[in-house]
Amino acid sequence: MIHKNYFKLDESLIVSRLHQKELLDIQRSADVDAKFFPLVTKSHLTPFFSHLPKDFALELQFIGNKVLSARFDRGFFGFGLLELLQGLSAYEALPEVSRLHILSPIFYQMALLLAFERLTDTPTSEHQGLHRAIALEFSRIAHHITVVKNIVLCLELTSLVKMLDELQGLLKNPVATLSRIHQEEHLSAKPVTLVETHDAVFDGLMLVEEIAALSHDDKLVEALAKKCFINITTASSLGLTGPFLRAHHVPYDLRLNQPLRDMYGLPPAISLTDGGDAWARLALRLLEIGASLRWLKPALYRFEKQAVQIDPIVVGITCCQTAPKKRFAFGEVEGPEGDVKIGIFTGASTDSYVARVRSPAYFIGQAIPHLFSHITISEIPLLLYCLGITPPEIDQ
Amino acid sequence: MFTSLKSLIDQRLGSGVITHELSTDFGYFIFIHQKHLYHVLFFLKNDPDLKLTLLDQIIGLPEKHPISDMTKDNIDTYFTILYQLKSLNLPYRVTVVIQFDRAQDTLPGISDIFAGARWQEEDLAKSFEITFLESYRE
Repeated sequence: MIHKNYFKLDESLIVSRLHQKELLDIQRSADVDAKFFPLVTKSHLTPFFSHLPKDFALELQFIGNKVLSARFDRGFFGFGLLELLQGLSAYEALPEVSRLHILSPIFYQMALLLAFERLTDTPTSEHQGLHRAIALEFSRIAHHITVVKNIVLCLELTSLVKMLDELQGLLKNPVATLSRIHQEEHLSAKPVTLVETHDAVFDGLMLVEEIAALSHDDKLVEALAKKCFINITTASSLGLTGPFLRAHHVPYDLRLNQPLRDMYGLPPAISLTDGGDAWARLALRLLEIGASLRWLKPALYRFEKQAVQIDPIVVGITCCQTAPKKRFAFGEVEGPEGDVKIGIFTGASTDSYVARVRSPAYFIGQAIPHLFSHITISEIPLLLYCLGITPPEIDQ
Repeated sequence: MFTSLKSLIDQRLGSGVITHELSTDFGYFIFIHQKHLYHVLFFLKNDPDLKLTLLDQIIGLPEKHPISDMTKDNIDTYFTILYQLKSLNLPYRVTVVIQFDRAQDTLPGISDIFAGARWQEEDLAKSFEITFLESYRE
């Protein structure tokens, strides 16, 4: 018997406006990450944009060319989402939520999936977990490459740009291969072969080590060292996680905790840097690309050897047909910019749900006044890139 | 450690601060009256044994979604607010749960304890018409 659900997202949904432009980006060209999640590219995203209550804004006050204060204005998708999702079944509505962060949609999708599986006590196999972890790591690599490339492009470091282009190119095919497995192997149950993927990961690892060596370029260090510094007490008080903590040598990473630990088997080595500034976070991104590739090498072999049945990484019909076993559940994953979390709360007397999203960008936006003190106007675009903010955002 | 959290809080802040507690697969939940919120959060952040320095999220849930059983009749203005805290060094989390009637009660603002609370309080205030007192001192 199908348990009927009504999925409700209300206007307090906490999502950063930073994501709006990323949604637009993906409409223009299919992103590597999106191929992991075919529903995203097939869906039409426009309804998000007509309901936004106010414009994205970065307000800056200067003395001479020095930034005196910075304020980041934001809004919410809530109203648009509510209208978009009303009347849909849980199965229809849940994938929509993953669009909240299109640059790395899989992190939101995974958080949602984990929350829903916890809510319904839906078991997952070891192979499913490994498949998900592989998808997350490819997505993390793609995200970091994009951010690092934006930074070096801004500084016109052409040799690094070329190498990052090459790295991005190397990893596009494996991602496409894994994406096809989603669609084909699920039905045909053929053995998975990932020869090209193994080669690409091996070559990628060599390349990222070269990039890391070249990243000590004086121009890059000078532009980023001691910029956007935030101390660890302020960072944690502001809710900043991920690179903001690991760039202070704090080994905070959700992949070390359950349920992600089980999903990964042995998680990737947790990369750490010191300094807490934009340079430390850039160095951390490169280390994390390397660590993810190193983890992927044996993980892909394990993946090949195990059973071939692969479920797409979306909230499945099994979950949606199961009545909630709990009153609430959270799903949490380590995103490339920090903790991504989705909480689902069931109604007391009805079959309704309320979902709450934790987006790292919300907290980064709030921290901008701290991050942007004592910088010059000319540094703003570069330092926005360092925070993972996309080029169209900076044009605004 | 968190099997003794209630006794630790009873000992440091006085008994009766925690009305009840809940251990879940997503950490430890403690239920308190809103008048104790500021001091409990200050304690959880600054106590050297706990050091829950990361404000993970503040979640507002309308009346029909309390984590515990409903006890009030007037559900139209009844809210549950969750303050989720984490430690940077240890894999544990504590959620402080407040259940209150927004028509009668206000909540203490906690942005001077956790700077990251400011936007979240503003958003909850706008969305649910909850009043947060900006500078809360008892």
